[in-house]
Amino acid sequence: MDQKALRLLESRCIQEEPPACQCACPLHVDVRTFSRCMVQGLWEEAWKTLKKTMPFPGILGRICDAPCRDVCRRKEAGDAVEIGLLERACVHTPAPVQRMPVLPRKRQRVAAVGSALSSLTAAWDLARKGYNVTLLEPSDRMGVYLFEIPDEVLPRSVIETEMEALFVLGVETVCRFSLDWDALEEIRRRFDAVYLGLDGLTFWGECDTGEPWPDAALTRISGLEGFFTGGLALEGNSFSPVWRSAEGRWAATTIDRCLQGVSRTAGREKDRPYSSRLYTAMDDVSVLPAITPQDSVAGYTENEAVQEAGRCLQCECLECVKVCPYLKHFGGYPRKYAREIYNNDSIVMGSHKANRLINSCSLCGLCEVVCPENFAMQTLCLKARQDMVGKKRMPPSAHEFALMDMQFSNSDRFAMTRPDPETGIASHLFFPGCQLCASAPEQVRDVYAHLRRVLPLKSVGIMLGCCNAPAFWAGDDALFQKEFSALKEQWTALGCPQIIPACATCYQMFKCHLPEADVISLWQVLEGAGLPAGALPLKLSAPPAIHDPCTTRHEPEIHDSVRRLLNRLEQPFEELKGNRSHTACCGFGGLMQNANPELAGSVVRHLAHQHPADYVTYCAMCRDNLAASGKRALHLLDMIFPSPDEADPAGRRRPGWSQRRENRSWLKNILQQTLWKESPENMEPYENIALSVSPEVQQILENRRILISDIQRVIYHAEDSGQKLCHPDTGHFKAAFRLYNATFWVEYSISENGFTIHNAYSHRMEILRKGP
Amino acid sequence: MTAFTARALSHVPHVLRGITGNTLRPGGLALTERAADWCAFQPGARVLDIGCGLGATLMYLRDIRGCRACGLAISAQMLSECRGMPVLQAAGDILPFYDKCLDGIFCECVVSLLVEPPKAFREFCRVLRPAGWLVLTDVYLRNPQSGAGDLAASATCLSGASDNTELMKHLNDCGFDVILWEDHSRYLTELAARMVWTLGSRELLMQLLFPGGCSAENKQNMQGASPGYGLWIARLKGPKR
Amino acid sequence: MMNPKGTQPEDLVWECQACHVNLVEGPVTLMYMGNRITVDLPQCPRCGFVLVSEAVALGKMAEVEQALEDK
Repeated sequence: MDQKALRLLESRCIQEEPPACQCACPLHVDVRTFSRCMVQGLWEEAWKTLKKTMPFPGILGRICDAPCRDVCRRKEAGDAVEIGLLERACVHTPAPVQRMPVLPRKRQRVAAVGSALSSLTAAWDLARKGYNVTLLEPSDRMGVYLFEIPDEVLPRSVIETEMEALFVLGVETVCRFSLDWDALEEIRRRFDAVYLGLDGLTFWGECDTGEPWPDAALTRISGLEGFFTGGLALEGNSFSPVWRSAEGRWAATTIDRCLQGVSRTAGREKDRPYSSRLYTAMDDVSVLPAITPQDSVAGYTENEAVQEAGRCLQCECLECVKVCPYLKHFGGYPRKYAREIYNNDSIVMGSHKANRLINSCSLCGLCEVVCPENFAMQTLCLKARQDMVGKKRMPPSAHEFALMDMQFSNSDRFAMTRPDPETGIASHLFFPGCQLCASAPEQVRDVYAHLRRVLPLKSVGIMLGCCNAPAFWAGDDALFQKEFSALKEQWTALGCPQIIPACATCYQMFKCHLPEADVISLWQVLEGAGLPAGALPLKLSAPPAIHDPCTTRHEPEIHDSVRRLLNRLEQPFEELKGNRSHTACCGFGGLMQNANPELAGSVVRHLAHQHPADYVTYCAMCRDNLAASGKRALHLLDMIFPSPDEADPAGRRRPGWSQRRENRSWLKNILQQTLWKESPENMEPYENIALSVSPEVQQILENRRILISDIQRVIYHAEDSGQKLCHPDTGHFKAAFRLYNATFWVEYSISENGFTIHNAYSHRMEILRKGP
Repeated sequence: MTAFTARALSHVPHVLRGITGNTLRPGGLALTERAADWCAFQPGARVLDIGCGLGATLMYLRDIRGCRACGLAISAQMLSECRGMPVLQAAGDILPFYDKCLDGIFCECVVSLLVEPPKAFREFCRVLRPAGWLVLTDVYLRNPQSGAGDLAASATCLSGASDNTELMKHLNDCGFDVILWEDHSRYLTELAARMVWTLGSRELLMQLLFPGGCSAENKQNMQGASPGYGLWIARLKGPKR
Repeated sequence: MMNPKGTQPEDLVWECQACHVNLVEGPVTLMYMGNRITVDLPQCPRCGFVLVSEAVALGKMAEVEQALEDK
């Protein structure tokens, strides 16, 4: 990813867009922060927020006409927030003492003619930029029309205090300046630029200042060279004090740029009011009317102000963060994450703190669906993983366990491709997927038998193996291509049959990476071909809620098909709030569970808490993950092929990592024996090692992802080589063996019929024998 | 995790001593040996080790290479650690030596501690003979544009680390030709790993490096700037031997 | 959790079955993701078989692994 791509990506996350009110304010006051300070009673902070962008907040804060109210989102649920009244309440409190930063003095001189708001603002801005500013007022009093505002609205003392700030900045003032052509010629000679504040002059009608420039609304350049105008606020309400003030500000910016000899307009797209791209959901906002001040002259009391400020919605987007525990977990939002991931990638050597961020995403794509701009975190993370793998920077701990599991599924222990056992041909190919076989091998056997019965021509083949999604998710493209093309070869050898995956992830992998294949989900096939006689609704205390696997997100036909199947089973069900295209991941997707097991745990709990009922789903991994989190969960197959041995399938425990492998091998063996009359493959010698493992130790193995086969290999190696330690008191042995990229340690003792396991653990660091 | 510098390390000699074998710096003596080989210091060569710490380099130069090596320490406490070897107490930028009297200067993990490195470099220039050698090893920022500007102000332990380009420019401006530059960041990484091992956790290492606590912002700046470790060998410009 | 040493007294109780001697503490080089560090761990003085105890594997060694992964 280069800088340009990053910018493009960042711009699609709108969370940092200023809210509508701030965009609409000609002075771009940070209204949202201001309201937040007000609601917390932080008057001083609120003052400072105004002061950041508002010249003379003591004056403007009292007379601001609050054009922001026109765009306030609160209007959709009550009245716009009364920002004008809130400003008044704020500036009634004592002003904080605050030094305004001033740039070093410049040589150039600027005159501002008139002393109404636009001229005062221009003078204020230019003086702070270091210019020598002179205010030329035709009447005999500076700020003349401000004094015409009723004293109870704008006390004279406030005007005087605020004007004092100008004098502190060194602004000179001249009253009774006679305004005529000769005088203008004169000041044009004496000053480097002249601002005409038309809000304080009755001059405009009498004097032709020439045609305005095309972009004069922003630059305030007049037709006379060296003259700049503003203050009429023709676009806003012409009496709008903030518009008048802002026109003085825009002129001051142009004057500065002209005198510095730089572009008058570059980068000023957002000087004037503009519309915000920020999206804010209004679904859960209840209607609240504006607070009316008890005393309309004095304005809000502190209490009233706090209440009114509390109606501010504090507009932000965070649509994706609201629905995704992963995005929430890292404390930011996609725009920030994109930058972190970019930095991670651009650092050749050094800290790669975003590794965890990159590897924890479930790649489920929910963020893209809910984002008003379709920001796709999964694309970003997957690309970053591919880059990491390409640069050999992917830590093995992130995905190794899953990739080893995939390797097992693609080995002779499980993988098998066969045409129909009776006819030797295959017009259809059942692909149950590695996780369904790991979770419910008997059901897979039953489904295959059923498909062979109901599909015509007795030509249903079967392919056991992994769809290689783990390699794809891990960003290991080379491995994925290698394994997937092997799978493709076997499919081609069978004559390119129609593929019937049971798992939504497999379905996606085939659909995206084998586009030439005809792929149809098992559910659509069952819907068309019919259900077995034994299919039954389940006797549950309440209708289950249906959970759509995240890999079906964009497959409405599958969603519909599954619901029709439930109807046909006469099984009533509930819908989750996040269903179909808005469904949430169970924490397995994208190998989240490998890279960040704790986060995956909170993700599945987040899903489980959406509805109190039992869940019914049609992905073995979703079911097992929900079950492991303590949620009662069914697989759709539990109803279509109910097992007589399983009284309460919703309460069935998730099989452990070792059990999952055994289940796959069992399925292969049973199919080989019963359908093809083949004897099972030869076992590895270590597999004959009998182990006795207590439930407590079993739990330790499960948490540490240590397989029974890992332990068998450690013991086989230890007993074969004699390399082991012995504890003189307990008689226990301890041995180690390095497998994949980890060293496994087992503490065991020899018992009558095998080995008793007391403990096991692993580490990734490799021990180089003999220190230097 | 490479996020610490000589300055931070100089506060924690008790942890470092055991790890670095009295050199108090990443890589131990490996870079000292490499540099001494490169400069081919002969027995009898006059070499000054600025910031000689516990005297490991000094001992190596004297006992193994037979140089007439002398050390410089700024603190009296360090001075007392190197008993039996010639060590002077002085600052790195005012050297108590005649002009052009030294064949080489070692300055290991010291430049990042200096307030004004060019001033010291000019002083090195004065005391080195023509074509004399200057050996520097130090932390540097591999990614100086990323957050490094704020770093100087925020993360004090990194404030001394400069970027390579800047250091090279200073050396050149002060009269040196940089003959060799090598990245040895792995030593810093391995030292960090070794410290995590000794302390028991990454958290404790952070506490040690930032006794007052490290803000998330500092941490991010630090990681962004990506501290590394380097070896520079420079030679005084001027008439060749 | 302070974890000061890689060798605890109880680690040295283990006896190497191949050499019939007790373990002793000694230096050993560990490698991960291309980085090496040398530390002291219990090992057989004859054949050099090194013991990594559960506390070390799940404690300081896991911490160092993560530190090196973040490089």
